[in-house]
Amino acid sequence: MKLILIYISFCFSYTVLAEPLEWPSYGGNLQQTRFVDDTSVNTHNVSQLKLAWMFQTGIVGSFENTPIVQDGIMYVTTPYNHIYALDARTGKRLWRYKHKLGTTIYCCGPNNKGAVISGDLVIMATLDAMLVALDKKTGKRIWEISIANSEQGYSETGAPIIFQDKVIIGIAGAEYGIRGFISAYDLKTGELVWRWYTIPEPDEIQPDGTKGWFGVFAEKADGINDLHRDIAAEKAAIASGEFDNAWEHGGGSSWMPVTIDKQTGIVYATIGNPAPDLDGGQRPGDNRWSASIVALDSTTGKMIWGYQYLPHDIWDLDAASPPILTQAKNNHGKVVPVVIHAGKTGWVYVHDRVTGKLIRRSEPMIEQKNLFAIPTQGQGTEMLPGANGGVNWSPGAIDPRSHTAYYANLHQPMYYEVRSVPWRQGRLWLGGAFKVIPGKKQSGNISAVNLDTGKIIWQYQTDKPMIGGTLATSGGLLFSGESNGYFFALNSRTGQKLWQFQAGAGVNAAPMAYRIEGKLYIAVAAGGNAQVNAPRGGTVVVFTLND
Amino acid sequence: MHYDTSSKQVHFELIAAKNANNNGYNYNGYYQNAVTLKVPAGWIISITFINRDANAPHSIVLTPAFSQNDIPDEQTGEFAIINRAYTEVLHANEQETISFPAKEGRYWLFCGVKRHGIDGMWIPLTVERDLQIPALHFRQ
Repeated sequence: MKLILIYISFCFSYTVLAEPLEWPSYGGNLQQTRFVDDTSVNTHNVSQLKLAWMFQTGIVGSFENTPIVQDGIMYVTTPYNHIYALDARTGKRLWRYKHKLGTTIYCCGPNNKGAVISGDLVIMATLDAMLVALDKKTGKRIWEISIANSEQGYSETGAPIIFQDKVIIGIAGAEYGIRGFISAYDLKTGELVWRWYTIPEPDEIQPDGTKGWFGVFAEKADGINDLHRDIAAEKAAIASGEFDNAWEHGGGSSWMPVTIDKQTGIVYATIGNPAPDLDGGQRPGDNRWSASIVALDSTTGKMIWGYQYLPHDIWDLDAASPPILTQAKNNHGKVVPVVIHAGKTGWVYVHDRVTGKLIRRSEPMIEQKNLFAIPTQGQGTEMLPGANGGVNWSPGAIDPRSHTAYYANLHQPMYYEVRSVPWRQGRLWLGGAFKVIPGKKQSGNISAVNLDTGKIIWQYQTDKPMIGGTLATSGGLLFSGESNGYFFALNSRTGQKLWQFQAGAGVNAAPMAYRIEGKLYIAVAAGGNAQVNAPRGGTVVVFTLND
Repeated sequence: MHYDTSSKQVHFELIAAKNANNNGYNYNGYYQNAVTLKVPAGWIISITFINRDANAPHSIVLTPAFSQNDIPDEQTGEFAIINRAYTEVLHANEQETISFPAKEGRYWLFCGVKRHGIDGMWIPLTVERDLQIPALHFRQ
């Protein structure tokens, strides 16, 4: 009997591992779990992980791409919107497409997070705010549409997501005073299906019954931390009528790919800072739905719920890292569907997926100092985390078995100095500056967080701020990379480093994995990063075990 | 600014994001025409450039004085109007010192990073034949 069970078990394992494992969109799946259920590379053999192949794109910029893989072909997008199709077994180039860029005005580097595949199409968004669909076999352009006017400061650095017959993507540009949105386009034609603005119009009724973007004048973040707002002054400013049109340039980028619950068809998205970043005096009220997580109906774009992490954010401690769908215990100990997000604030937030209610937030993953102190003139206010986070855009990974999340964090002490300037089309509009503090050390970490309790399980400290992302596997591994060029694997249970590879340029992109003919490959882009000034390059590196 | 009339050398220390003026896109807090550096022709100009901007890289490229509609989107060092009169693109807390001869003319000290010049990160430098000593001229 025992032998039979072993035989059945072997057959089952073999069958599972022989199936191809694909990675058709930025987060690996619509839930953006970045979890690979494959034990073939594990804590016992990861030290034997070898370079399978590498591909030099020749495009040096700020390489934030997560490759996608389907039908044995890898698609890589680069800075300035080139896209390469490669044989995922060998790295052999199959075709290349270069988007002919128009006017570009963008924040934080000429980045692109990646493409998405569905049917015969591979789709990429571009720095000049366009959406381009290509024939995935040939690279021939099938359709191309303009999402917004790039001369006004709209840009795309994120990756689109496909759900059913729609391509869904947000927009960036809050640093230039755009009004953010998330849109859905027809997969076959690129025609706009719906658009939900992240900054509501004055008369727009919100799910909680409030109107417009003023909100409820919350005085605390998550009902806990004092935001030091002068509510009376804000209400007086609103009553004056001087800021009646501020919402039109209210910001609220949605930088990162949306996350989708396949069963309910609900879209989850994180929304970035209001505009101008530091100068709250020009935008009284809560500035909804900046610095928030929201749930939308994928069919209509109608808002279902929203949770604002920082009402009236004046620190750029907004929400960028994409939501992840998983399960965790609620406050009654019952395991429920949740949506999680790690903020620039340095906390992991666990929400009830249905209602948006905050179940818990984690212990801070990074030092917090003078949290939510008001930016001043002169030297400015020293505060931690700095404006890059906490967790910036870096996607996290989860282990659904242990209800653990893994996030990359930054520690960058900064002075926050405010200065009021008027909005001008296409011009930078921060309303102040974030200044370095000479002599203050910067660093980073990978944090493992128990989603059932909010407790930090372990932290892996790094010399440089971490930006890029993580990948978890059922083999007990957690992959990530550093600005110093090292791509590494940690024991996901303990945080112990088990393997590393020097890629020659900053590894500031989220890794991914795929399986072909029973063989697991781990891939990551190594090309540095503009935000943390990691050494630039343009290489995709792919690893596997020897036969 | 400090200078030596005997050796005809002048040194400027320029700090990007010295304060929050112009979103931090400034040199010592100045941008556009807020200050003009004036240097006698034939002197040697040296500039120590320090970037204190936590979120953006900056540079200095010596360019011609542009008309408002002709300000370039970006400018690399190879386009400096005087040989080697540019810094690398510096990130937070980095610094570099450059030195070049003062040839008569009207120039800009221009941040060559994409969009920074259009966003106003430049200040004029004029090199004048009749000037006796270097000077700073502040716009009223």
